[in-house]
Amino acid sequence: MARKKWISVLITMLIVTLIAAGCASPTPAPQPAPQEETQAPQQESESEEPAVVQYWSNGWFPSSISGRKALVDKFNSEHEGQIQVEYVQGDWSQGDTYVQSGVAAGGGIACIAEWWAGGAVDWYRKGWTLDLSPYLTAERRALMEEAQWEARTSPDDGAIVMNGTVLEEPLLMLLYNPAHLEAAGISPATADAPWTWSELFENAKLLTLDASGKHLGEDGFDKDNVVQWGYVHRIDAEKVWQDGMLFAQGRMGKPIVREENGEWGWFLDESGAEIYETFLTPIQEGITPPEAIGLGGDTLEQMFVDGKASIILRPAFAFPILHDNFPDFQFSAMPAPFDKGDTVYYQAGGEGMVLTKNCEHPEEAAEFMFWVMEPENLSVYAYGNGMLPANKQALDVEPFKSDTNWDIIRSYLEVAEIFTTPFNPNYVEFRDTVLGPTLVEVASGTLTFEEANKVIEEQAKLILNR
Amino acid sequence: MSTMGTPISSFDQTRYKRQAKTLRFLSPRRMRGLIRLAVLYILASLFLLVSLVPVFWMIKTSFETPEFMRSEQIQFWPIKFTLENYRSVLTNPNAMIARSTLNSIIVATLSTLLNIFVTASAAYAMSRFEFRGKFLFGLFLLLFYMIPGTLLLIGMFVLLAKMHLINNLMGLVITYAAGGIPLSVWWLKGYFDAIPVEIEEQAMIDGCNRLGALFRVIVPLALPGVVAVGIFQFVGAWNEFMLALTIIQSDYLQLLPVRIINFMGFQRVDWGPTMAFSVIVAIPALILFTIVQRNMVTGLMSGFTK
Amino acid sequence: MLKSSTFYRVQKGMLPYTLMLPAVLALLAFSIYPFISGIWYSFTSIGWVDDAARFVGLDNYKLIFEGNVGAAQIFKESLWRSFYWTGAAIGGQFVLGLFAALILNEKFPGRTIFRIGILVSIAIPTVVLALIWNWMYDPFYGLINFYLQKIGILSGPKIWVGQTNSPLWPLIIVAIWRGFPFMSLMLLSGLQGIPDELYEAAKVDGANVIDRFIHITLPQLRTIIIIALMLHTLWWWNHFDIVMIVGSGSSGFGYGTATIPYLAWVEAFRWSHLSRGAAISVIAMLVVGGIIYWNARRELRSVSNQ
Repeated sequence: MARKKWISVLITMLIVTLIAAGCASPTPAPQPAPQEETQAPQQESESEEPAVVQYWSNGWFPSSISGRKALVDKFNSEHEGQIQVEYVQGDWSQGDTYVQSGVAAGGGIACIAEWWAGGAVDWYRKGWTLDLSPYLTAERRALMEEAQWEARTSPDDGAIVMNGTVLEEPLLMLLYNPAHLEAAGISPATADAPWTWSELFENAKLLTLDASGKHLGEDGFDKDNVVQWGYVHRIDAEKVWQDGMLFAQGRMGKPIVREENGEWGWFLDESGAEIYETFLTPIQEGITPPEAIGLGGDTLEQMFVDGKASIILRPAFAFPILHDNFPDFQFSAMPAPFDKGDTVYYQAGGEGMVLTKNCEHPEEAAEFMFWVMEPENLSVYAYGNGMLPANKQALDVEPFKSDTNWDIIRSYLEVAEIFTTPFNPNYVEFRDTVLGPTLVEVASGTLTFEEANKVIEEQAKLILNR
Repeated sequence: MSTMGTPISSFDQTRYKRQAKTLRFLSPRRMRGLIRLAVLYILASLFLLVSLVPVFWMIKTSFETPEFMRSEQIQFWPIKFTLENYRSVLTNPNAMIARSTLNSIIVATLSTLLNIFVTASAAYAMSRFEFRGKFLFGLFLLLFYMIPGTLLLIGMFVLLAKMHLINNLMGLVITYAAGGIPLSVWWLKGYFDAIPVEIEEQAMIDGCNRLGALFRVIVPLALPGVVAVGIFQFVGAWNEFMLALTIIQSDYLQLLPVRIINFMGFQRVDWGPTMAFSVIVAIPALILFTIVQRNMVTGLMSGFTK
Repeated sequence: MLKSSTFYRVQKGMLPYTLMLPAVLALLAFSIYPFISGIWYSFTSIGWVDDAARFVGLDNYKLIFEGNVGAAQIFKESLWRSFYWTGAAIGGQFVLGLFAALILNEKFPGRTIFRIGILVSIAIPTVVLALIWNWMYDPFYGLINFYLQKIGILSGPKIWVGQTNSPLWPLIIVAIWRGFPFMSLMLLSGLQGIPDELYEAAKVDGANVIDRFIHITLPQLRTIIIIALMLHTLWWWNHFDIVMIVGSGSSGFGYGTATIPYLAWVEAFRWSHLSRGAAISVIAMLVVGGIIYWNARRELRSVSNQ
């Protein structure tokens, strides 16, 4: 009977799916099994099964991903039969969601996740990650300078929350189009003779050309018909505070967001304010297009490659990105603007790997984390990522050794001094909801810097002291 | 053949008739009819174009080679037809297509079956009986839609966490099954209402008890409706994004919509493989929908107008 | 009338409740409970799942309403954007949907093909759709920039979505594209319920197309239109997928085009403020609930007046 057939079809479907669910749901072999409680770290069992450790990476362009994957392969071949690391592709925008789902589920996520120093401290204090101190031998500790470890320490209990892979500072440099500079008769800055900000703006004016080839400041320059812009940098809410802060703190020598007399706030002194303001005014100078507000890095690079921008301000990881995406384009690097007489400071911090709470094999995961920090391994990681290795010794190893573009940063490191920033749990909120949007308004001219600074100071007191 | 000067010959008569016929053919009424048809076809084609261009573009791109992606070289038809995108996305370990498809199938099927078993009985009761709380229940079904998805998600997330069902396919199954109850009950009730009570009464007069009547009579009649609702729920679960994204983050357990977004990546998207992935994800829903679309129109509207 | 036996009466007494039980339990556990606890969480300080949930009264609400910087600024901007988003999307969907329904209602050969073609986009997962449109909006590889540059309107690649200062209307276009087929489906079934005699009578009285439309079609469609508009308002007010995926573009977080649902999700699951996400969702619910209630009351009053 048709009815019986239908019902039996439905029941069969149900049974088949339940079976499939039963096979599939409890997740494959070792690692991502949801657990009821966190278990005490178990002794390495005598079975021949290698411990599988998942590693959630946030590499986001081809070189950075291939660099990490190469490292994973290398580790796996060296630790065959004991530890196997499994690469999982993650994303910066998903980090929080990913890790907190592991907390909510009691497991099911990778053992190792990559993040940044401030965020890692935040995660630790929320109880989402584990302290690395039990696995930090003196030998391993020597792989990175103390100031960097300090930036990865939780203020409450001194726990080490993250290892060190790459640094986020000092990283900015000016990428320029040699053909444009040559045509305008400008000789580029060198590591010994960097430009000042005013020199940069002056030269940029010579490089801002209209359709007829006249440059900004020349008689008859048509400002509505600009085909080549002298200088462009990112002025979107994500970067306008970060890059400006880099230069301002680089001059002040101490963090702008800090605690004074028991109260947190935004303390920008005059030297810092001056450079912050300069940093926000290239549009007014006419050397940057108004559309630059909101431009992301990839658009900037596209403009650069298309010949529409002569000089751009980019972090060093633009090197591998440009090589990946535009292998035929010729460019060079010169140091970021540097006013003579200043000491250059850079902030300790950067990125690294954290150990998530419900990891089943924390010791093996730690093994990988610190293996990565050794010079010959970290150089692969950092070079692919286009960022400074947290272990400075890696800079003296291939492939960094023979890449001349990195000489500029090397000379920075020789003269630069490091400072640490204290941790504030509300910093990210302050940064994303107040600092970024307000400074974008300054850059687009709807707010003056003084007004903005006042607003930022007020809100900082409110938000950071919660 | 005609000769000048003679009175109206037979040929002239045919010519007249032919002219008259043509004139009648091109009469104002006919012209209006033709113009009407032309206008309709043009407008309908415009809508069709608007509806289908993105879909067509997705399919086309999935068969294209990378050099034609860049703006200057965009073509309407792939000059170099290639299956490389499909091959790359099916074998790419990052894509984990097989695994994600299995996850999607499991979640969609189980939640649909669970949903139907629960709602079919409830809809039958709503349709055939009067009982206390019926009005309230019906009211709740309507009010349910005002609850924002995010509010439900937050409450559900914490609840599932307590039940240890985060990063677990069953957590999602339960969420989808429960979330689909209001729509299913409403819709199925409409279908049951359309089956006259007399048929059951007839069956009971013929000697069945209530339950027997249910099985022997109602089930076969309501089955098409149930299947339509089931397919709707299945497609809904297959396509759902927000809950799947939040509740399941483990890479082994991700469903297809989440997988495809993670695959897309951040910088310099690879549009060829991404579009191939999209086609693969869209196909089941498309097939199921075309099967059920006629049914859906009548059923949906009967539910609303009742 | 039915033959009633005692067995039947007892059965009748318990049966509906037994039939309703699974559905009621499921709804209680997985809809009502999360809903209530979601509201509760909006009055606490809970940040993430294992966080302590201290009662803080109206603090979260104060935070998002007071002042014009920080979280309050983002919330208020999102609220306005939600109004803009819903209004514009529904408006566009209604206009296009009505147009399409009118065309599809006419009898002409091949109209089934057109109907299926226009409805096909309903079956495509929203995620896939969002990806396709992301690609069409892409500044360097996208269809839209390609054509605009070809026609000469644009001189270079323009960024439509994804940046912090991107406008909302490109997303609204995606929403209109997504929603109008379903709207036309509803309106079509309403149109098909209008008896032809009304039109014939009007034609006899000398009414032209526009008159017939205004005086016959629209009034007859009134109920359907109200229902369709209300449903779509609910759906699109709470919509998440397009705002998240297309709003983020291929390299961004999409906070510049955030509407309320997306903001609530980001607050709850990315910035780890479950309580704030809940508070935002509650506000969203009150707003849309208010709109629906006000409209429903007006409808009921006018119905009872007729």
